[in-house]
Amino acid sequence: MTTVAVSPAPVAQVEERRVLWCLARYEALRLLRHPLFVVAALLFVLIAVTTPFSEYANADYDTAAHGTETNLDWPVLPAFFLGLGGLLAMNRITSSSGRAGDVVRSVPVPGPRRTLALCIACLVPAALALLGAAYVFVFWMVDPPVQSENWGEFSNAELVALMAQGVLAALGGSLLGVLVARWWRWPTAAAVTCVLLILWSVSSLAPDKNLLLTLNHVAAPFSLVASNGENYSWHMGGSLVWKAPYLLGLCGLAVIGACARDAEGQLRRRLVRAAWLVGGFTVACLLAGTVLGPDGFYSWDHR
Amino acid sequence: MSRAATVTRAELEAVRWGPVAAAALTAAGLVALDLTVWPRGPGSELTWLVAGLLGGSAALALDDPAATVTRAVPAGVRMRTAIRLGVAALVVVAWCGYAARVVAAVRADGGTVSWPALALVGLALVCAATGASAVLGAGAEPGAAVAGAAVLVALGLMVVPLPWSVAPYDVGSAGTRETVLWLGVAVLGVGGLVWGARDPQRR
Repeated sequence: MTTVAVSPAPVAQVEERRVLWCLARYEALRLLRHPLFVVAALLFVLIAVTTPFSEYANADYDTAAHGTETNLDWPVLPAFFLGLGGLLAMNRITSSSGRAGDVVRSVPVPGPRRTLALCIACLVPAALALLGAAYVFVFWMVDPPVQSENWGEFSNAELVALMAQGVLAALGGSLLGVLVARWWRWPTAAAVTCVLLILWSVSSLAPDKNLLLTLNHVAAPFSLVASNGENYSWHMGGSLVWKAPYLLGLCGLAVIGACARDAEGQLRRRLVRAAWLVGGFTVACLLAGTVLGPDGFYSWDHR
Repeated sequence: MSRAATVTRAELEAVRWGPVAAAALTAAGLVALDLTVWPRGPGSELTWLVAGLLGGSAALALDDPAATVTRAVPAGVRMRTAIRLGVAALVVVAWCGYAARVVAAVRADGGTVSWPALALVGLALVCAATGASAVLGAGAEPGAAVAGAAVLVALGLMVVPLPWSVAPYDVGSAGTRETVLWLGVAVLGVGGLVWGARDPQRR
């Protein structure tokens, strides 16, 4: 019999971790009570639950053979409700804790740790998005949506990556809310950030007929897989599978950036090193997604 | 200087012009994009984001961080709100001008857009945003939250399928049920403004 000696973490570390999780739980509860997030989450749940039973997914639903409708745009729902809703709510929560500066500073917890707790709270919208994505995905894998444009053109890995995009958008949007509130303490910051995100996402829908446009499509924090006009459907280029780790990298950068706001000394140096590492990983995934993915093409074109 | 002019000047100096201008300038940037290089413009999805941002800008103009001090000013809440609504009026005028450019461009392309219907959408969003801001209380500085919500709602109406096939941004003609709905939103917003501008003692 082999005996393994396990040395417990130092008491101070255990205590710090407990405080962190306690703070994270508190921030998560604040998020769950935020009116904007409550409304966004309820609408998301309502639409997610009814999606597989909607007229849209019904085989009898009368639609043109080459219509503009596609169930593949489902991830836009978690991205919109939980991503943008989470961004606005987390931005307000972070800003309000910033305004209570004197009180908060009296709590014996360093700033970066408080920010980390806020970032952990962002897992709430991500978890909700994951539940929704899993629910819809299982339904559609068992009973594939008949009217879906392009559904059959994707491998299972690509479909999973596609659904993961919605989850990562929910996580990333909320993290961006924390990041923006930490660095840009301006009342309009969240709304302007939302608008810029939307602009970037919409700009990524231009048919990517060259590498730069494909790069923009893969780089956009949220983008659809097809660009549909009245007379055509353009299957966007770039790799969906590489896009998921790229988005995860962006989430990591948002956490590091937010925590770096109040970091000093050794912690700041460690965060800078981590930023280089995660940044390198993110850029590598972005380039891989752009170069290794398929080129864009017209699924159909009646012009 | 007359008392009214003094009060107006003092009230306008209390407006948080920075955030108001940030939202308005972002909207102006979107307008410029929509009317020039944006592939789907004029009258693209940017139009509705502009409406949301302008609503947010007007709501931010009602924020009164110094409410505890300004409450002692010898001018009623209603008068001070009315002065600040001058910003909202400017925003609505700007929106109407933009709507006219969109209508002209869409008609030149053979499309149909009703200017009154399009103008009403922006007006309703501005009314709703300022109404919400007034109801929440200027002293609580709800402008930032309302601005975010206005952008979210403006985008949400593009993304979320509404019951009974309501198409909120169908502005092809003025005599539709959508126009009636927007009119209802505007009336609700004005109601919120009137209620919010009452003397706090009488609420």
